[in-house]
Amino acid sequence: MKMKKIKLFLAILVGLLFLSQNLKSQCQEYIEAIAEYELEPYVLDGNFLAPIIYEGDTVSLTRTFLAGNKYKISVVGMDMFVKYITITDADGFVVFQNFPNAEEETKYFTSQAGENIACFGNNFWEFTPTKSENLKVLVKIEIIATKQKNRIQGCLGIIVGYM
Amino acid sequence: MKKNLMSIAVIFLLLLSFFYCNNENNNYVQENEYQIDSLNQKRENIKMVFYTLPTPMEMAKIFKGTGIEYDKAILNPVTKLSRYNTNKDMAVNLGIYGADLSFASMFEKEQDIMDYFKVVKQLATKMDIIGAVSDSLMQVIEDNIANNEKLRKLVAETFFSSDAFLKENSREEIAAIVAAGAWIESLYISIELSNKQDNKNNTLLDRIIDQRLALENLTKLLETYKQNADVVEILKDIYDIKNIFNELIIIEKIEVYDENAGINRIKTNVTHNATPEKIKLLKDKIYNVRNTYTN
Repeated sequence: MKMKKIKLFLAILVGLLFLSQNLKSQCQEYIEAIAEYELEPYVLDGNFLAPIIYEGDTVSLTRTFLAGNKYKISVVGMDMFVKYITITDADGFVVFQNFPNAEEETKYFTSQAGENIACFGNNFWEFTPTKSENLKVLVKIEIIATKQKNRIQGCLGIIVGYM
Repeated sequence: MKKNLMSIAVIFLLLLSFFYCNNENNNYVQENEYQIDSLNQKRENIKMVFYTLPTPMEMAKIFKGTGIEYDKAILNPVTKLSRYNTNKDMAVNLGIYGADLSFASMFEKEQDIMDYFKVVKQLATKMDIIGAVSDSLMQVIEDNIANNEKLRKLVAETFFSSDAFLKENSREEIAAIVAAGAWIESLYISIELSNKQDNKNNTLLDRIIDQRLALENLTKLLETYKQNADVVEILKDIYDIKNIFNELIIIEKIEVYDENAGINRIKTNVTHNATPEKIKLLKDKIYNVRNTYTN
């Protein structure tokens, strides 16, 4: 009986490992497939950034933006969740927020398939830096699950295009 | 029974070590913002921190905008490819050739684009980066050699695919070394071209000094993989370059009111302090580092 339990535990562990690798490659395929379309007419910058995270997690990207280019920063993936985007300069001054008044804004609409899609508030920002600077993009995924164990894992892409 | 338990324990330990290694090599710094006890709660507050810098194509676009002209002679010759056989040499020169390809592409030099795409493909294959530059992609490039916009997109896609492949296969430190090579080469090309052309091109000088910002992110990116000996070697060069860049600027801190936060904050003002002597120091260092990597 004890042996059976140990074997079951090992089987689950192995399964989780493969699932995690599979999720990674699915994530890569997904981001690669949508990045160019998402950024059109901007040119994809070539940096791949697509961590696998849980709802409630926060991801930060610091990147150099050069004077003379126009940019689009787009946050994709985890479509069922609201993504709170805050972009600050190197001194911490906020230069962009997609939900400056988060509590007051409607966050969902229902798709034709009947799914709740969180898309109110822009998940992208287009700008032309007046000087070269390092900006920090902070993305926090909202929490829907009421219990920790029910939290959903997904793929979040932060993609940058320039022109 | 005992034997079975032993083998199960060994398998378990192996699996555990696999898990641990994968986590250790992730391309982010995990910071726990708060002290929390439960594992689940800890997961909630994990903060993943990433650093990226402009790719060579983006830098080439900026430098082209300052009026510089293309010169094939300053690129790393494709004939040197056979010299690069260690992991570090291959990774750093994949970045260097990638930057050369980006410059050739930005200046629409068809033959050079083909030559550098081929060398990038060979190097990527040698490094087991699968799918970044396939035979079919080479055909698409040949078919679109006169379509500049399409070519630039293909170069960007090549960078994106290589970066994705390395990061998704737990080779993030290699991706960081490639980025370092690309940044060094882009800076080398811009400095070399600025030497050959109008010395009073202030915009170009400004854009070169702006690279200190990308250097900050490159340093943080490389520091994430300090356990890798190749990264440590490159970091030594990067710190030297950073020290020289620090001499080129004057930092002034002023207190201003932040309307969003409703408080006073410190704002940093940076001005250039680039004398010809200091610029020469930077040039010499970049030449020296680049030559070490390519020869």
